[in-house]
Amino acid sequence: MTLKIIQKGFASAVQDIGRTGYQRYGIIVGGVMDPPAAKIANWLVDNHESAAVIEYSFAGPSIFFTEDTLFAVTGAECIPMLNGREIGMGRPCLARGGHILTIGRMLSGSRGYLAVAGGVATPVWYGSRSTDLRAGCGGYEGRLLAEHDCLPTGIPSPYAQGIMSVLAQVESPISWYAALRRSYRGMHWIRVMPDTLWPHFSEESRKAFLSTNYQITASSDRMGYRLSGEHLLLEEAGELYSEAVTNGSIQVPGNGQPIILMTDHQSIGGYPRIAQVASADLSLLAQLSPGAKLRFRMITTQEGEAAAIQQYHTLKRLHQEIKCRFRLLAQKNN
Amino acid sequence: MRIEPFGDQAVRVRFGDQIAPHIQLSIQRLTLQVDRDPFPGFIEYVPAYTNVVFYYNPVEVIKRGKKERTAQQQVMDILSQLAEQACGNERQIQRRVIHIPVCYGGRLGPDLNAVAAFHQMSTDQVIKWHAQSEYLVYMLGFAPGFPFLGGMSEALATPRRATPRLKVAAGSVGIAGRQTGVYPLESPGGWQIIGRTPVSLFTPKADSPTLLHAGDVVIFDPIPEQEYAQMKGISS
Repeated sequence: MTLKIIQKGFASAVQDIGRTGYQRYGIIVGGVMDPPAAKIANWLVDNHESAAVIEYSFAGPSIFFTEDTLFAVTGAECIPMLNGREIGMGRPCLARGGHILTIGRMLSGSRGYLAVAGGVATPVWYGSRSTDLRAGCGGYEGRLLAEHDCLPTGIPSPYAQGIMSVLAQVESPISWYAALRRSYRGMHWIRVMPDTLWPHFSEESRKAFLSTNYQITASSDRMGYRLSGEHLLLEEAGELYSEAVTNGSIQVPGNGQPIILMTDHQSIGGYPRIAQVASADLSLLAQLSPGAKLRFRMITTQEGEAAAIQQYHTLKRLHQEIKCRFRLLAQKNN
Repeated sequence: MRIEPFGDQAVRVRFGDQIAPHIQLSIQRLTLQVDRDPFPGFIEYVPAYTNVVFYYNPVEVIKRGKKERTAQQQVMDILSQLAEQACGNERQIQRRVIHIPVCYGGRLGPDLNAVAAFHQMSTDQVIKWHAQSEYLVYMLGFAPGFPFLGGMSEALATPRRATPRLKVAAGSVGIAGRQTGVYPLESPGGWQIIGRTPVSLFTPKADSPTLLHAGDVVIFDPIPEQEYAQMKGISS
């Protein structure tokens, strides 16, 4: 089975939950920017959550299905159309061979996900199918998707095949949907934890960091978000050596304007870091666009951990709910 | 030795505040111990000059550890015990020694003359200084397989180029301040390029993704351009 790219959308690429275990060699983790949204897309087609999906930013691709395919669209809000018919997001959909899916522009949020039953089956590189653009490896030929690319897909699970035969018999699409309760509009509170150098930033800087807005600028990408706002200054600039950095590390280069490292960050960095974004808020951050305003709120690492664990359980419940809906759907068939 | 939280899913173990082989050794002893016996929920570690970060999955740590304590506290306890042992341990580690052939100067090392002029040395002296040291790989990063090397003679320390190049060829050997390194991939860069190696540092199809690992010793062997061309021909 293949997916043929008719229109590439913007920055569309094959991604999964990332390439862990190789940062010590300088190979980045990468993967989807919004893991919860990508996992939901996979669950909706009965894939393992780590299956490869297509991620797009701001505008989605148009895709030609060579065969009957079960798929789901999640993440940033859009109006996906299958052969000119609105199909809705966050639910399993059946495309017949020859159908064309048009995802179009995002109405709210930045990153969207298309999962197909069986997953995108491009070659695995060091344990992952994620596209590493800078290394030119992984994903589809190590690059962004382009018109005429043909992506191989894997074999749908037996359960997904059952869902496909149910959907083939019903006229109306599925009415329920799975989504994360998030809003991408307005000002966003982002929880942060202090990094080692926090006490070494000037008192005014620390105060400004926690009490004024920072705006995401246009020079932001999957590697990092450059922010603009009050200048941040270290009390005294000592010599720093490069060391490991991660998603959500907030670096402050010489110009005093913070940069939040995102999914495609390098494994190490040498700029002073003021704080670290709570893991639970990274997927919200991933959906924000240039122009969005942030306000940072300081929490403890214990609170950060509790928020991450709570997010895990919320997603787990959503997964159970999807499985439950699938069972009901299968019963309908019998 | 000091252990600090690094966000909510990682901890950083610091062994000192300076670049020194004995600090690298402590880091390596600790990471070897975790390789042998990974703690519950361990994902990966990333060593650097003075410290090493351990990433873990808090849900796994708690599932397989104690329910009533935070995952971070449990990981910090485990690592602080292992790090104490790594510091106190006198056992030496057998370091791998990797020879990297380098053709210095000419079109492959366009900044060799500038580096020599900066230090008022001859180009041969620069080559001699650069090739006679043993370099320790402290970490890899910036790009896949890019080694951060320690041990370059202070006499060769040279500021970066005023204008970075848009393209530096893969295999280029350069100097930036007190650091020396090798570009594994073609990339933009501001390092002073003094030579090039025909050997590939990023080997994505091999068992190990990179030629060098943290803790290796590197020796640069000068080769003439003819030999460079021969080796390049064989390897490509």
